[in-house]
Amino acid sequence: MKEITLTKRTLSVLTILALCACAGAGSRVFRGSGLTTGTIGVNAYPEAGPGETTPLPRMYAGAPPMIPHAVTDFSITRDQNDCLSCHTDGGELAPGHNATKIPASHYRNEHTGETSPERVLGIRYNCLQCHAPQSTDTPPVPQKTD
Amino acid sequence: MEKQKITRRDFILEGAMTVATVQLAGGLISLNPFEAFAEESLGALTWNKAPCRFCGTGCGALLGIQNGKIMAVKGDPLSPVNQGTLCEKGYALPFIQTGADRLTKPLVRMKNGRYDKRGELTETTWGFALGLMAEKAKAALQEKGPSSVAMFGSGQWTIWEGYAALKLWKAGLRSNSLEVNARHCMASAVAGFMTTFGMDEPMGSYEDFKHADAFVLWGANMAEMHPILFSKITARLMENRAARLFNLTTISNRSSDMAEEEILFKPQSDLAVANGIARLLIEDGKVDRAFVDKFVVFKRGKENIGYGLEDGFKFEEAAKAASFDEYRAFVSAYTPEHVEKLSGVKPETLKKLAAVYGDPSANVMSFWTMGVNQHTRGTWMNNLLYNLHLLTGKISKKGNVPFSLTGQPSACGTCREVGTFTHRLPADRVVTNPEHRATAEKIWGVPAGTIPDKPTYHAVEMMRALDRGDVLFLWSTVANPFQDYPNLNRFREGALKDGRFIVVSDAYPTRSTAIADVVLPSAMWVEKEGAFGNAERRTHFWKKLVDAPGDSKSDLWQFVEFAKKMGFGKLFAYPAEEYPIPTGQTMSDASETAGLYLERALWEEYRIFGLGHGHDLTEFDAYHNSRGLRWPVVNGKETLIRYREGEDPYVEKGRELQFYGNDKKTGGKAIVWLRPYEPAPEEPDAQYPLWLCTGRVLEHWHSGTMTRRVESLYKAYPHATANLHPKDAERYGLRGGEKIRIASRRGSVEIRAEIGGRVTPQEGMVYVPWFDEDVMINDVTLDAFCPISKQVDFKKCAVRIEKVS
Ligand code: SF4
Repeated sequence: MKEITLTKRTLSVLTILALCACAGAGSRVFRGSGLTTGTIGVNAYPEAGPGETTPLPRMYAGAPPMIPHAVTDFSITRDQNDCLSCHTDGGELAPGHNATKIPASHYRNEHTGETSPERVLGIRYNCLQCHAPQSTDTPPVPQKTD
Repeated sequence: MEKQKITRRDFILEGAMTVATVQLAGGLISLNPFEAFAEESLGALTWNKAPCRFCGTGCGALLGIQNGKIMAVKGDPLSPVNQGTLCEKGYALPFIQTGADRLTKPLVRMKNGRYDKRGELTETTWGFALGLMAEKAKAALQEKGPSSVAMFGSGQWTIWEGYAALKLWKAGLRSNSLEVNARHCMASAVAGFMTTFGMDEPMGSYEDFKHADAFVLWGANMAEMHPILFSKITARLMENRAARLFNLTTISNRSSDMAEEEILFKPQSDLAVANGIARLLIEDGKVDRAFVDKFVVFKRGKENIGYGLEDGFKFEEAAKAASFDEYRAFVSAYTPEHVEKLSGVKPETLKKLAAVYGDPSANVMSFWTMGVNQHTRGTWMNNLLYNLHLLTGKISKKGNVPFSLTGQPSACGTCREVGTFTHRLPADRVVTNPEHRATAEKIWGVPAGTIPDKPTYHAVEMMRALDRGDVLFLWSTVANPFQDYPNLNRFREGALKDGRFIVVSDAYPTRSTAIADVVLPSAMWVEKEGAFGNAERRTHFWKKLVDAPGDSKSDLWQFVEFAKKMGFGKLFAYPAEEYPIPTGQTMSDASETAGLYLERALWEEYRIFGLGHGHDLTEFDAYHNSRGLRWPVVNGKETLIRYREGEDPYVEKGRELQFYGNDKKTGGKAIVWLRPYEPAPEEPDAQYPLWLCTGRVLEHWHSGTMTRRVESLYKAYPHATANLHPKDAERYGLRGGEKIRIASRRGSVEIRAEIGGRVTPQEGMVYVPWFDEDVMINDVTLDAFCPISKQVDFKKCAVRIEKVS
């Protein structure tokens, strides 16, 4: 895994965060939103390929895992799904790469009871509607800590 | 920044094995990432149902609660909509209410201890904020009359919030100055339904997906904007190899990945494409003449209808009857060659599409949302899509639906069904009709003549009126108008003028709260009891599940308390013995304060409007006890296919098909409209050579207020970028990641260029999503609208771009 270096951009985000924190604490004055950072950002995602990264922590038990690697040029079409080739049980590339295995929920429709043992269900086939690569950016407004 | 290209081949050759370790941050869950997640740890949570807070798909969610906090979410397996799954936004639901900067106290702009428009927002009490609001509203009523007191609401209102706002405004303040952000999103869909069928909302339901043979998307990137509905299309395509998907779009996007063909057309030319298909259907003898003779009439409306760019713009339709032969002559101009000239769509592609619609054995579903609705000819375009289904009889039949998708979770349930627009009343009634007003006045128990008989301002005109000083008091709730409105420079300046009093109710600080005179902290989603209505006419309820932070209050509570201050408390007084608070249930703030079950009282009153009127909603508990029901619900039974005998209880015996919304107008027939192609008001020229199209991305909801406060969603798509075609990038000497300025005649923004991103517009076009507070793209957009629906075209205006060094 590549080392994360602090770029000028991440530093400026950190500065803004610090400023927000000062203005927020105990202040009776409130103007605008912490999402207005003045940064015209670019979206940069991991460049490391599949198998070269470690899984990301999940938001809560059962949360869909986010994608730790690049998916550039991945194809999800009726005839080909590049995600499945590593993440399914029978995926040829999976052994040795420790790809996160697709869970049983993706093979059984809990509403209709229909099962699809060979391939993930059609309603679960568009992987990118739940799983997405994560940029190195930090949200300017954090979550409550309590 | 150029993206690194990683192909599967590279991976096979170079993908070295990495031993993975899981790094755990505080509070994150420890798990073996290589195994399916052990779900036992979820057992300690209490699971409750609630519809997703976001899009009009209306997925059911199950929320796992512990110690008053939402710990986890799952797709509700009992919901037929999403069948146990959710999209990225749905899985982020536990975090949308817990951003660190939630508003928790009412704020008023103060200087030297008094309200001052140039003061700073200062924490205060509800009593002071509401008192000031009432004072300002009364002053405006005196100075300029009821129309100067305005509310701008939302398709994210719960049904009873919308209903309370409507009652307060139209029966209390006697003002029709009530509008919603759904005007920007669904007005053309409503106008399309009303002009074609005399009744709003789709005839079919999500059940139809599994019976369709072909899906045609018209300017709707469903893979990102309606992900779970797209997954229903995908499921059908995967199980039935013969099923087909066509993606008609101005921008190459993710929905094309599953499609047989991506069909690019030039902005505004969808009008020509639809007419071209209709022409081919007629020429090739694919029109179902028996169907047309029995169930369809033809009409021709006004042409060259303008674009609403001037203040006070008025339009009145004048429809004339037409014949099939006149219709045939009308569409004959749209030859494949002519259509190609206007749209860029090849004649053989047009013929292929006509063959899909014309195949008598194929069930066809068409889908559209903002591409068609946010269009200066949006109503026409809706009409033209219905034309294709009416000519071929592919309507109100299993798997055959022209399906107008809805954007917001309750644009249908609240805005359209309750009628929270300047001209409307519940269940498709209008203020201009004396019978409709009388019905409402009777149900509300207010004197005859209470409801004003003239609409005042539709959404755009309301903001223009604020700028002019005709609206003096504006209350925005569950919306972010000062990020969402087009031509924002004018409206922002208007709102800041002296004498304008702006109230914004929201859960978080936004670009709109930054402008407001008063900011009210809102309880949101499951911090209150609620009801939404989704795109398939499904009404679904939820109970209050967690407490709102600080002094936040639901909009319903806010409306009732404001009503009391204005002297209209009676409108929300119901007998407590009739609507007792049930034991053991956590009540909303509004019910607690009222000392009765206010949501139930409002519901039982509201549903009187629809009973026996084609909009039947059933009693309150039925919705809490189910995963929602699709109206009309008659004798406890929901309706899946409207207008079809045997399916819809409103269809008279022996009629087979009855578009009963048109009973009075056409004897129950649908209307095929003769609607031409007309150009957009502002097209690229030498000075502003590119089209600008705005929209959303999968991860972010509208202006990003909720979704950009969730880590997974923020990180998946942190910033708005300007998507460009590689040839345009080359022409301007741009590489991905470089900063550019996008300028129109109205304003400009700075933004980074992106080439080869998630979407690629066709040449001569730039795409910018509007979720980013740092990229106020609506400073650039144009406030032109469809003269019939008054919905703004956010998809088309002319811009130029330049590199910023
Ligand atoms: S598709 Fe829409 S309703 Fe369903 S989970 Fe996603 S945002 Fe929510």
